[in-house]
Formats: sequence, C-alpha cells, structure tokens
Amino acid sequence: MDDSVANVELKNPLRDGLRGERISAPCAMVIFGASGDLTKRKLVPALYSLARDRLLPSAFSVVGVARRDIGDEGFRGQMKESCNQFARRRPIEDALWTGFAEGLFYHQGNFSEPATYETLKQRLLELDAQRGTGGNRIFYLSVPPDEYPIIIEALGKAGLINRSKEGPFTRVIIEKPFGHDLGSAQALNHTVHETLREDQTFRIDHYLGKETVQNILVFRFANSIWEPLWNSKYVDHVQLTVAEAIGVEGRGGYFEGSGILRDMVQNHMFQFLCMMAMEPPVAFEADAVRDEKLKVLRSLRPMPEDPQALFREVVRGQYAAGSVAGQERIGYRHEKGVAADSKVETFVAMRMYIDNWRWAGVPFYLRAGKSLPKRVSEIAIQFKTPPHTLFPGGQGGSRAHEPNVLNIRIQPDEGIALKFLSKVPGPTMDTVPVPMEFRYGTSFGAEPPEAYERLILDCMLGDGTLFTRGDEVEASWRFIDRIQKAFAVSSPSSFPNYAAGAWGPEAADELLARDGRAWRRL
Amino acid sequence: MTASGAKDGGGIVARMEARTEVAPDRIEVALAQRWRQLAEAAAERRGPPITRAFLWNLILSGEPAVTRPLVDELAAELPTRAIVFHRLDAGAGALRSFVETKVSGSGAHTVGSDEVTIEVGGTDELARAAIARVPSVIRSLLVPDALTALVWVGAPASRDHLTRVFLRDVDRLILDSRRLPQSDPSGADGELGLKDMLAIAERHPRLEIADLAWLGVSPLRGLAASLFDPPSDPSPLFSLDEVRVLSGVAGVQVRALLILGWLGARLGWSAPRQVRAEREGERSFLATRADGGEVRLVLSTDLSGVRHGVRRLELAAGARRWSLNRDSEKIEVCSPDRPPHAHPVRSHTIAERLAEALGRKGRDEHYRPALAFAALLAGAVSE
Repeated sequence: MDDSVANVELKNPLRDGLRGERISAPCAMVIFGASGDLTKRKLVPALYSLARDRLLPSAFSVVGVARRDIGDEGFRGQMKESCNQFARRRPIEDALWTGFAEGLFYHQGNFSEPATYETLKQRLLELDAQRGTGGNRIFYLSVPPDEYPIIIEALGKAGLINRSKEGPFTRVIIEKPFGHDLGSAQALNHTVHETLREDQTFRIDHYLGKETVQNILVFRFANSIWEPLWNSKYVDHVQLTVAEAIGVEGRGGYFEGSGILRDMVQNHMFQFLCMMAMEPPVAFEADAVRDEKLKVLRSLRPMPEDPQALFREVVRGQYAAGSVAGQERIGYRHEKGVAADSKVETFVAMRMYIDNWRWAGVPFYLRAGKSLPKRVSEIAIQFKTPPHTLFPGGQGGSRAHEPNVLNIRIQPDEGIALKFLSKVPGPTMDTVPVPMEFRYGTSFGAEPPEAYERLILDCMLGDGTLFTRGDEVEASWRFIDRIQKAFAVSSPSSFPNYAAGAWGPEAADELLARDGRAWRRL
Repeated sequence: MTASGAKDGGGIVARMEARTEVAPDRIEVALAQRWRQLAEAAAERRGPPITRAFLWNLILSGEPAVTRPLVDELAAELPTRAIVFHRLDAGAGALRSFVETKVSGSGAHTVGSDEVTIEVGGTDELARAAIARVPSVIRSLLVPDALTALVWVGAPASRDHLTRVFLRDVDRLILDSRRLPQSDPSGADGELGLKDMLAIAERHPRLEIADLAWLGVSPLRGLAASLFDPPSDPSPLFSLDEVRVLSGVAGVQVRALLILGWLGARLGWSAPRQVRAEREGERSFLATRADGGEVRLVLSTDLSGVRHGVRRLELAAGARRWSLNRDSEKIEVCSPDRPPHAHPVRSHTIAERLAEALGRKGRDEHYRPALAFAALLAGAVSE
C-alpha cells in the first residue's frame, strides 16, 4: 500500500472509522489523449460512475490533454454526451453531472512540445489551489504506444513527477500494448524507470478489472474444496478461450501491426492463465500476487525454436468472408486498412505447458480469435475421469461418461458452472451430465462495475495488485517472441483459412485431436 | 397463470404469477412448482435460464400497504425470500398464507425472488393461537445457508413477538431509528427508545445491526473525514471545542445524535452531559475530550430548509472552523485549508436503503459505539 494512503488511515481518526470505504486522498487526474475513444467510452464514464457511487476523493479534478483546441466547456460538453451514451447507469443525473463537470478541465497541447508540460504544470498548480487537490497527480496515457516514452520523459523534465515517497504522490497509468516484443518492452521499462519508481507505474490490462477475473482468486483461495484438486493429479487439461464475434471493426490499420497474438494472448489471456495457475500468494497485496504470477510466466515451457516443431504446438488463422450470427461478414483482407495479401493472424490456438510441480504434464490449450461464432471468454478446467466406470451409459449415450468440467465464464453471462454426472430419474442407473451453476447476474442482480472503475480507483489508492508489473510484461513477451518470430519467418500459405462464423481453422481442432481431446462446444 | 408487470426502482419487476393462497404446509411445494414452470417456459423461449439464488431470507412484519411495494422494489435489487407477516384487525382469526414469485431484470441479470405472506386477522382467541403458530411457519420457510435478516418496517419493534423469537437466530437486524415512537413533539421521549436498541446490541454482540438512519449519514461521515485527510492536518480533531449540528426535521433527532455519537466515539470523548442551552430551541451538551479538555455539542433545529436530520455540521477548534452544509442537491464542504467545494446528494427510496443495509454497509463496526454515545446524549442511558 502507498504511504500516503497509510497516512490517511493512521492519522485521521475519522477516516479510520471509514476504512472500508476505499476513498483516495484528493488528486488530479490528467488524461493524455482526451479526445480519443477510450477517454470517451471508458475513462470519463468510469469516473462519472465513481462519482455517482461516492468513491471519488473529496477534492478531485480531471484535466484532459489533447491537440485540438476545444476549451473547458467544449470538453465538458463532449464528455457529457459520452457519459449519456456509455456510463453504466444512464441517463446521467443532472445534479450529479453539474458537480462532476465542475471538476473537468481541458488543456490543449502537443505531446512532443515542452511548452505543453510547462503550461500544464502551471494549470495543475492553479487547480490545486482552486480545488484542493493537494499536488497529488495521476497521469493517464491513453495515447498510441509510440507516445508513451515521449510523454513520460517530458513529464519528468517538466518536474511533474515526484519520484520521492515523501510529499504528494505521482502515478502514471499506461495503456496496453506495453511494447510489441521483448526488446521494445525492455526499452520502455527502462524509460519508465528512469523517471518513475515501479510502484508509481500502473500498466493497465482492463481484463484484470473484471469482477470475474478477480473472482478467480477468491474462488480458488477463499474456498477450501478446490485447491486439493487444482493440480496435475486431478486435472486432465485446461482450455482458455477468448472468442470475439466482431471482426476488426475499422481498426484494421492497428490490427495489421499487432495480430491476435499480441492483441489478446500476450496480455489478457496470459493474465487469466496466471490467475488460474498461480500458487497462493502470501497476501492479497500487489507484489505478493504479482510475484506468484511471474513464477507462472517463468515456468512456461518455451516453444520450440525450430518453426516446424513450433507449428505443431501453435495454429494460426485468418478469417475469410462468412456470416456471424446470421450477418454477412467480409473477409479480413477486405477490411479497411488491411493489406490485400495480409499475413496477420486473426486466430491463434496453442498448446502450452507449465513446467512446475503443480502442473507438470497438464496441457493448457489457448484459443483466441475474431469473427468467431459468438463472444465468449472462459477458462475451463477439465478433470480426469474416474479410474473405473461403475455405471453403464444407457440413456446418457455418448455423454454418459463425460468428465467433470469447471467452467469459469469471464464474459458474457459471468459465472461459474460445474458439470457433473447425475443419475437419470428412473429404474436404471443411467447417467447424464448436468450443470451446477452460479451466475453473477442471478445472485447479485445489478450490473457489476466496469473494469475501468475498479482499476482507476485502485490507482488512486496506490494499489497495484490488479496491474501488471514490468517483469511480468517482459516474461510474457519472452514467451511470445519466439512464436512471433516463427510467424514472421514462415509465411502462411493457406490464409485465409477459416470462414467468419466458424470456430477457427480445422488445424485448431487437429491440435487437440492429436491428444485425443476436443475443444469445448461453446 | 396470470402475468403482471410493474416498473419500480431500478428494474422491471415482472410478477410472473398472481399472488395465490396456499395452505401453510404447501408453501414450499407451491413455490417449487412455480419456479419449475418458469424455468420450463424460459427453456421453451430459449431465453436465459431462470433460477433462484437467494442471498437473503427476510423476515418482515408491517402494514401490507408498506411492505408490499417495499418487497417488490427490493426484489429488483436482490434475490431474496421475503417472509412477510401481516397482522390484520379484521378477519376470522385463521392463519392464511400466500405465495408470489418475482422475476426482474433481463438477460444474465435476471433475479428471482419469492414472497410469502402470512396473514392473521381478528383479535379473538383463535387469532392469538394463530399468531403463536406464525414463528413455526416462518422457521420452516427459511432457505438453508442463506443469511437471514429481521426487518423492522416502521417503528422499531424491540418488544414485538417475532423479535423475541427470531433475534437470536438472525444474522442482521435492519431498523430505522428515526421511526422511534414519540408522543412529545420534541421527540425527546422517542429518543429514550435508543435504550432498547442499545440493550439489544449489548445482548446480541454478534448481531449485525443496520440502521437506515445511520446509513443516511454515511456521506456526511465520509465528507467530514475528508476535511482532515492529507494534506490537511488531522490534529485539530483532538482539540475541537465546539460541534454544532443543525437538523432540518422535527421530533426524534436520531441522525444528529448518531453523527455526534460517531464523532464522540472516534475522538474518545466521555462523560457527555446536557447543560443549559444558550438559545431557545437548542440542546447543549458538554463532553470531556481525550486530552481532558471540554467540547460543547449543540443541536438545533430549523425546519425552513431541506428536510434532513443533519442539514449542517460545524466543527470548531479555536478560531478554525470546518463545515458541511446540505441543501436538496448538494453538500457544500468548507475548510480553512482548502477552497470550498460541493458534493451532489441524491435521495434514496426505502428499498434502496434496505438493499444497502443488506450489503457491506449494513455491517459497520462503528455503529454500536456511535449508538452508545448517542444514547448517552439522549439521556436514554447513563455512563
């Protein structure tokens, strides 16, 4: 926990009485890239929701920084429209908005010009005096990745970063992607650490802000019944799926530079994997949790160096024209901003192993793709079948001996289901698989908070548990780099190799079929 | 089967079947059958599965006109089994029971709730015998492993027979101390009722007590605390010499007493005693601070503005003053260390407060010390 927060709890006896409220000290949040989509769709609506839930500090302001000259009122007007469109609870409440909007400001500037930061510094000092934000700052980098080092260095040079643990806090939130390979991630970490302490650096992966992802840790470590089964003795294999029904949605130019491996696997899927596979941390604290996640990443068996051998473990795909949920879909190569002979993968599946005591020999199958039949993200743990079959199949037919599967649904329809065999009512001992379901919506009703609400609040409180540490990012890139290199040197001859609306190329099915397994039907 | 729907609070409460009367020993069977029908209908529609996943058993008693909309609105927020007892003056003295199932929300956020109503009418011997059987019916209906709350709808009912029977068995007691019954317009006699609440708190140390009056002052507590968060210096809190609370309601002043009680408990004040007020219509107290000094507590009323139990809270240490001023839209926060700023406020329905009381906020370890100090101020108990 950050020192300033500890001070709040120790010294203010009234705050001590409200310990559970998770209220941050006063602060100003500066959003670089204030005219961007993320600011409009996620960041400001999340801040508005925090205000509605009374989770913002007593003194708070937001300064949006971008190149266009729209002024404070223009910015407020745009953000009001965004909140009306994207806030979790709509329409927005006028009285609440009025108070919230009083704290919204706009600063026009070019990110590469030192003058932008000098004037920003002056503006923040004025706001400290006007609004009582006490010199505490959060800088949110919602900009293209090549601007991260420029902004971080400029903030440092302008004296906008307090690197000391004494005095007002400075924290920086960095959006994904953090680097595009190991070398670039190391270089960016180097730049970051020249200006910031690691505990001032909040690398955001919004999947970690999802309730269901956080619940993996609660599910595993707050219940005693799963942990004895959570190992190679009982687990046959694990399947992780992040399927998107949408295509690249006008982001073809961006996607051409990333592909699904960088866009989805290196960050989101590896975070699921870590949460699912890690050892119990000594405490639910940032470094304790991240130490354990890092151990998982370091235990990943590296992919073979030989591309031919690697492609026995990894399958890539690219969608052709087809239809998804009844809607016609053009092929990836016809998307705007995509090369007509693009070699970029929109689907990837792989078999991985975690070489440690707990998971020795257990395959982890990952698949992620775009233009798949439906949107679904889940982790499915398939347990081994009983050593001896007592009951005949009978009425259950081919499903009569299906193994137990624990399915953690990240989205949509968030929840957890356990599939087990049950006796079919009647005079025989026929069995059939049935689900035992927990659904967030059914048990807790209202929509859970947006991931960005939780993550921004955590950053205000100085809690980095749900953010990615520099060494984690490097470890994940170290693993991905070898696949990326194989993709680069071996041109796919068969692209496009799956129709939009299918579950990826046939080779993905063969990847599991070779092991006598199959992907879950989702 | 009949279907009806009503928009209420945050979601659509779709009463899938009209309230129907069933024999007390057939309630579970009737409910299970209804849910099975609902699940089958959902499967036929290929809609999201409809299941029950109760988080709470609620035991309520009160007037049907109050409890029915309350339970309906709450059903849209939380999956509950509400067991409602209605005592009617008219009737033949028989125990009658009714069941109702509610589905609200949509898609993955479909919440299912049950409502069981038990009615006893009449005042004769038969009615008394029926009332005596009510706890056994309620007990048979409690969903295993779900938490149970006893809800006092209306005036605190510390001597009510359901309270006597169930207080030991429930996890949480939910009440609204603003509704302490009073006969004197000043509310002073009503405030003496804090004694009963304190007695319950002391007799049941593990019982979670969620007071809606306390939940209503939680934004004020947060903002009062924020006055002393870094970079502000919290040390003046230990040398406060005056605290003034202005109430905007008549009668029982529980919210004002609780906020003073909270300050007293957090700051280690002791020996509060009422002293002669400086102005008519005020109540004044002196308490001893942790450093041995004295702090004056002044409670006054002004009914001309917003109706809230704490319209203004003012803290003073020497010449330095901090204040929170509430109107219908905002709370203005004033501090010698920072520029004034305003926080929006919004009103809550009773059902929203009840949903809060069933959540994390209903489990507040700081309520009991605040209640104890408030009861001392009200003269309900002595130190």
